[in-house]
Amino acid sequence: MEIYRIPILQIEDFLVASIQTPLHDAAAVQFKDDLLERIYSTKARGFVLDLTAIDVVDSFMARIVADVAEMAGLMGAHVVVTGLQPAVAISLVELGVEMAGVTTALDLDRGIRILRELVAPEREQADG
Amino acid sequence: MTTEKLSTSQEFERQLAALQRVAGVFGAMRKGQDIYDQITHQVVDLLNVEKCAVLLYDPDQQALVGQAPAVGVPTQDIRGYVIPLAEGSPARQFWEVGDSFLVKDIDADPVVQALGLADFAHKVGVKSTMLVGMRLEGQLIGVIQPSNRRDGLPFDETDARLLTIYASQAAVAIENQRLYQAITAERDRLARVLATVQELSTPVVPVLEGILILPLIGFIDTDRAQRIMEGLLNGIVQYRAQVVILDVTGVPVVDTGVADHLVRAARAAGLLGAQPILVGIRPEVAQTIVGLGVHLHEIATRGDLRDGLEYALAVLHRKIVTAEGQHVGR
Amino acid sequence: MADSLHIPVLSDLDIVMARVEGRHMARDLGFGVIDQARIATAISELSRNIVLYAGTGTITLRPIETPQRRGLEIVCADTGPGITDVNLVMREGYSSRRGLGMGLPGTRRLMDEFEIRSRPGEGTVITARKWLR
Repeated sequence: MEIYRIPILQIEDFLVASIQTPLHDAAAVQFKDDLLERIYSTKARGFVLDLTAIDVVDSFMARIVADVAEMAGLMGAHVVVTGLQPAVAISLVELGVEMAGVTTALDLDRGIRILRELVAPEREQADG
Repeated sequence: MTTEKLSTSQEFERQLAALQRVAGVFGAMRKGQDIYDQITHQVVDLLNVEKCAVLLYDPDQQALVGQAPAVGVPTQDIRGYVIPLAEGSPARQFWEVGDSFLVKDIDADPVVQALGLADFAHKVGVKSTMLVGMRLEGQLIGVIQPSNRRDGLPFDETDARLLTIYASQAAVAIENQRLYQAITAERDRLARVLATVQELSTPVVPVLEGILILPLIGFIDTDRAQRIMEGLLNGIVQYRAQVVILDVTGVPVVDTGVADHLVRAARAAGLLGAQPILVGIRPEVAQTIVGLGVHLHEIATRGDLRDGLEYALAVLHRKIVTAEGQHVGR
Repeated sequence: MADSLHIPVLSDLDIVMARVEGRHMARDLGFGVIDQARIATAISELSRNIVLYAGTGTITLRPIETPQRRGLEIVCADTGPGITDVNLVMREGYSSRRGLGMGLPGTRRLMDEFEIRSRPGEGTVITARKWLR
């Protein structure tokens, strides 16, 4: 069965993906694999996951997001999740699902800004 | 003797049949559709006439006033149709005493002439007519006026009796609709007032750039807590806040329920990229929150609003926020 | 008013369908976006539990009505292994699988009414309702 793959774009040296359709579990896992693969191959320093179009995030999805952030972090990339809708945020906290350790921002614009600020000092250090 | 008995029982049969017809016709009334439209059409079917109008008593004018729409009479004409009932009017007696008033011939009837309605009758094409009162709890609230039987004959007692039965139901229907409209209008008015009150009781105050203050005042129940959370999150989106200060100084009771809601509101704010700061927590409230098993390092707290604002500015300056409230920076 | 909707749950695709249908029904009934999300999330959690623990089951979504109010009912049924200790799974913080647990206390918080009936070896029926405010 053909699984719809979520397009992952590159902006500066960050990766950006925006989830537009309801994801079933298998697609979510596929996306996680694709993403980590891309981070590795592009040596991306940061990744913005935009969830503006998502109207339901349940415990499974939240788990995937938290896992992605952790795994990407291990590979040297910062992850920022943007665009969580108020309705989704409320459902998540009432469900009791934590996305602890996941950086969040209001929208894509803020997300990129945060990534720049996170990455810049690391670059400074690297340059000596 | 026998003939009389026969006609009494025949009359009874006729009245029973009439009652059944009225019930059947009336049962077809539909809510929402114009009531005068329905009544006039039903009477036209019931009595097999060409025209029908409803007039309602207007106490200010002390007159019966035609209601639109009517069957067989144009709307602008029916609106100008008025039967005065003030003291001295020839129609007054009917109003006070009678239930029905039959006019066999417009041109010959003295009351029609006295009221000056012959011209109007000619204009709209009325040849014979009948007025039957609609009574509500004994009071006449208006009349139904059918005109021109299709068979050309004048109206008779049977028609009057049939229409009287119908009219009593019509009176109730008209009153019900009036009440329904009054209740609906009041309900809408109250809904608007409630919406305003709710808005006022969960205000968010944007200050400077990117800081939102949510001053909480009064008792907070589950319902209000949910509305506060929604207002807070919508405020974060609207004002693009990066820091939100939740000020609970004005909340007299912060029990586990309220603390629970506060913590959830703070976490939800974090999910939208806004760092939550709790201010105005008294010692006993702090104990409640800790007792909930909440790790306070998740949510920054300060003593009062001023401290909270200072801290908010420092956070904005450092610019980097994580969901746990820890600061990552230089 | 729409009739009830029966959705057989066998795979993760059905989870998505159930919550999409649930959201539509909630919207058509007049629930606001926040409650729509709560209902859809609850449906997602409950149907995922079927897939994870029972293998197959059904979700039934139904508009409900009393003289005072209207709402939406979710009935989630399976003939899986059943829950041995209902109190345990309803306790806050309980988790059984990789930290995911069954998510039932959280799901209950999303809805207004919540009942579990379960017999080990026979299966589980969870009924949850949310009312329009």
